[in-house]
Amino acid sequence: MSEYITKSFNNSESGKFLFDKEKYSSSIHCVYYSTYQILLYIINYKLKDEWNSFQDRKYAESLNNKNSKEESHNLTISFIKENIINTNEVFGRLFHQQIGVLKRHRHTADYKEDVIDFKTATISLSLSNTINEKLIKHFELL
Amino acid sequence: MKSKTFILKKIKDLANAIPQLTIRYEYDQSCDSHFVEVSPINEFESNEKYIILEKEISLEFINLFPFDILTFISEKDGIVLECPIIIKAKSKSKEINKKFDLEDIISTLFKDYSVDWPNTSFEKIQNPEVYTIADTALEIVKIDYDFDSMDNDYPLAA
Repeated sequence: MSEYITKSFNNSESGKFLFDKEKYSSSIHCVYYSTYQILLYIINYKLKDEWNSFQDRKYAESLNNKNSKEESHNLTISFIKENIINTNEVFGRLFHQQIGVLKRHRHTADYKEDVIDFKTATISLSLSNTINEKLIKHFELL
Repeated sequence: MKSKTFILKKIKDLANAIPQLTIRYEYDQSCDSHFVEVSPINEFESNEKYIILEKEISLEFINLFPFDILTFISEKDGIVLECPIIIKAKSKSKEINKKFDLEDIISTLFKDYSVDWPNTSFEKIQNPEVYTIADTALEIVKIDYDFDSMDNDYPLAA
């Protein structure tokens, strides 16, 4: 099994462990990265050529843009979103919505002063689990 | 065009295309994420026209702004928008205004008379039962967003 997938499973397990210990912010951090590591596996093994082409094109366009940004997570997510929306509309819409919410919760958990409560952590764990399962099925990762 | 300008224009078009929608928009600058909350929930979940338009906007946005994230959400998603811009269809306000349409009121009061309306508007004067014909149309209050000045993008880490 790929090391990305192993890391993803470990982060998912750690997220659940931390959730049970009521370490909600850390729990969200782990499950977000569990999902992100699956995306990394996809761009490195399943859609490598498409990803390289997309990445080259978007970074080149970005250099010509005075407001250029280099938010690598967003670029990865955008690429996967586009691919799924064009191949499976129902999952594409679900992924589009859920990954944005999960990323927002992770950002709040890691960088903001806000208290992360039981409800937000529960939602995040559920989102990560759902996305992971559907990504594995859609891209036939296992 | 900047990402906020693009989204504001698109969601304004969306609200006009599907007048029953209420849309709340917020940009989270710290993670370059845009949230568009669409209500009522049943329209968000099952209005086919809405779903098609959402897909078109999403793909266009990815193509133009791949370093930003645009997420369409509903109230169920538990995202708290702290200071959203609220966008509703123009036709909604027209419906509300119609309740107070003076032409309708006067037509009812003078239903036995023929009234020629073109180029004529009415103003209510102090006595609530009396209306007078005015030469000029009533002023319309319009709020214009200065889209470009609202867009301040700062490069930030993930």
